[in-house]
Amino acid sequence: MSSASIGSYSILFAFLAAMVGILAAAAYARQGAGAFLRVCRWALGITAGLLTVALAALAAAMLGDEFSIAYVAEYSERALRWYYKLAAVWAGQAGSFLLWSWLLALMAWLAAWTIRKEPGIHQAAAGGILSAVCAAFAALLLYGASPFELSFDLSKVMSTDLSQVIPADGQGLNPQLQDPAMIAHPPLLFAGYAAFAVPFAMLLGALIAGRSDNEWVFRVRRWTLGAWSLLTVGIFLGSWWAYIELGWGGYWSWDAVENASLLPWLTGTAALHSLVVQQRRGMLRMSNTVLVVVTFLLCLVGSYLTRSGVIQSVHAFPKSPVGWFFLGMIAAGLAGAGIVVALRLGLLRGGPPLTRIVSVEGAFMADNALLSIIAGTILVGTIFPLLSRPFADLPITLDEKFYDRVVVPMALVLTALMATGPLLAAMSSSGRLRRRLILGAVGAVHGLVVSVLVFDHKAWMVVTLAIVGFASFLIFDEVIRTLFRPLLKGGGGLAGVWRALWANTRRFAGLTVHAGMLMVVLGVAGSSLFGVSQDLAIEPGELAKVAPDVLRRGEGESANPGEIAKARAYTLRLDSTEEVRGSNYGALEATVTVSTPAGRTIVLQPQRRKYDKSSKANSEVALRCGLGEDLYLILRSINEQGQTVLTVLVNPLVTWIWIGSIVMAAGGSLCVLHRRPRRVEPPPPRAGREASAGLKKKSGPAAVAAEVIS
Amino acid sequence: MSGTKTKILIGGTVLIAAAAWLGISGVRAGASYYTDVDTFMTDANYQSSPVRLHGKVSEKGLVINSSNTAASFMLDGNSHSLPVNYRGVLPDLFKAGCEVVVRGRKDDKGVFQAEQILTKCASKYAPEGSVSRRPK
Repeated sequence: MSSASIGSYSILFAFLAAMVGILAAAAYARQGAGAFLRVCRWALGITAGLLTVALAALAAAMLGDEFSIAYVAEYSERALRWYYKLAAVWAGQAGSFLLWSWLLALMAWLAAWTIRKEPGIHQAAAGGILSAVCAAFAALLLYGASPFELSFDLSKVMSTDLSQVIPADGQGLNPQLQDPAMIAHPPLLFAGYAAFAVPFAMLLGALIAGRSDNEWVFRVRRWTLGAWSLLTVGIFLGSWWAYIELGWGGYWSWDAVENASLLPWLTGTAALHSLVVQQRRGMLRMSNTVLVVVTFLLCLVGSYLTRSGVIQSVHAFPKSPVGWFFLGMIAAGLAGAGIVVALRLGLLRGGPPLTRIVSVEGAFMADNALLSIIAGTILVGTIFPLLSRPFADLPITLDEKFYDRVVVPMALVLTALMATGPLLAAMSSSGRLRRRLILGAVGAVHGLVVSVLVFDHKAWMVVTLAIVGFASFLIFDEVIRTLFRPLLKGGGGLAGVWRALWANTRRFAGLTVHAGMLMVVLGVAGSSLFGVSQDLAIEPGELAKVAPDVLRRGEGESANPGEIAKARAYTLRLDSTEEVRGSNYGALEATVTVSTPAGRTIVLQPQRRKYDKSSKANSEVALRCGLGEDLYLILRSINEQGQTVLTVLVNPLVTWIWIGSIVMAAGGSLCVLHRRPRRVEPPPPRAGREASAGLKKKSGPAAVAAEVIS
Repeated sequence: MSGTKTKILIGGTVLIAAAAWLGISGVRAGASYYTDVDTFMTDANYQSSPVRLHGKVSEKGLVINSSNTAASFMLDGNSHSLPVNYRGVLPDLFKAGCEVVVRGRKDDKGVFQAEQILTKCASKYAPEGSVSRRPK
């Protein structure tokens, strides 16, 4: 049996298994027999298993160069290295949907397993919804974008030798996708999208079951956190790929596909904050429901917008009916969620009301509102060509100036709101509040001093650094006090620190995520406000100086040589420019020895590659990453005078975006590990000592604040 | 209405008003019409507006400077062509016959001065395009 047959039949049976899951859930709702719940769980397990087989079949076809499969012939070639052959599985539309479906089925199965102790109707509703989503994706693979179509028309070649119609080699993988970041970026992004289906199903399941308790909220939040962490890493890897592979020195261009991944991230961020309030206090039920539903639907909206052809994007997609599939899923999700919300309006409106605006809950509401407005703005910006049609003869598009002007100020306000978290948590004690205010002010002053001394007091940087300084001092103080207080007080040594860490996992996770966010804000501000570039045309053996501070003042080439000689500068010497050969490409490679302002010597080798299966040349940049700034070299060409033309970019603080993203995802993952608080806890054996280690259980708003936004 | 609800209402109104003001100023700064070369050349209304034009780089008349940082070319539609000048780093995928979206406006001499070029290749799903901007 060929890989194509195995794959196609696996997808067909996965679709049928998912349909069995839906029927079993419906049968439980009708008859209430526990066996149906087991059937639903097993059906999801079998769907996951069959999609695993389908994905493995496609991977085997890629590795085995089975060019009888059109998808393999289109995205792979014999000379491709094995790990890029594997990455080619998700390089195209159909393969990426198979990957998404597989991850979805795995997570659906895991989710169905984790809720097996919940009330039966909750299990059945959530299992039924997850089965329906899996079935929709399997149908998409069967009828919309099949990765196992043959590369030839079987009916026309019955009498011919197959070897004559099967391509001898594939067309090869897009050179820009031949990058390590592209191996991991799509799986993580799709894992995030897939995982957001679980909180959607669990929450609607709880509503259908009419649950008025908040015991289940813990699971919804944990899945939201997991999905959010995966999406964070996925977006980070996509930006990193754009930075090192597209050769223009940027990492984000507000393109429709990029925006599509950011939208669920933003609403997911809002959801995972305010779900804590529901878990602890039973508040914000309606807004949480809306956020969780919208987050899942936004994962689909992005795919619809970019793959239906309604929005122009630099990411090109073939025309196919997949847009209609996504539109159908969005419409069904919206209608289904709308009906459930309408039926359970009383339940959602319940819960204690907000009593004070300046409170933790008030801050969460503002946080929700801001994140939703930012997401809404980005959505409007993305679909503006559609929205503008009734009012203009031609579609109107919005470029990065729109996003810079609208999103940047709102993101700064959001960061400022994040910085106030520790103050709100200290509201109950005026002494503690005063102390934190002073500490935050000291941090802000530090930020101001740095912005004036290092960054020429540019207004946006002054504001950014003041906020980052304020917030980071408070985060640092919180970590030190909670983690090391037992150590300083001689209570338990390193074991005490470890105990404090585990007893406060969620709080530390929150602090870690916030610290990561501050790093990202710093990196974005530094690189977008202070990045500079210079073109050089030099001969082998020739030296050139690049002085970022002189370029930043806008003097560039007009600056006199004396000033450049005195300024902090990189000295570049071109050693050679020669032709080199890789496994499936030829390249022009420049070897440049760079003396950094710190006196270190490094060698950078940017290339201009020409892949055998591509008609276009492709820049392979050379990069020296640093905590202060990146040196980024692009090889352009050899000009008519025989000089090597290079573009040199100096991007300050950009590394902090990558570090911050990893720190954020690590914080999110740490919080996923957080154990569910036990409903009845035995009294601690040594209450006094453990309280000092931060183990004492708190309740009410202070606890919510302390655990999440301190 | 309770005091808290009034405060929420006022806070929400201020937030939405601020977002709307930002949005309007953002649209003014970043909006451009999106069309193809033929429509642009035949409709006098948009000749002086900032636009994004979709077309194909003509096989004839493409001049790229030796450092690959400036180009002049004819942008072809189905029935019309438009001369385009661009200064800035060219995207990797830019070449004759390639589909592009150029952003900019037409000058007094009838030459389209592009400040951004986006290349587009419709054959594959994956991010084939790349963005290039004129250095600030």
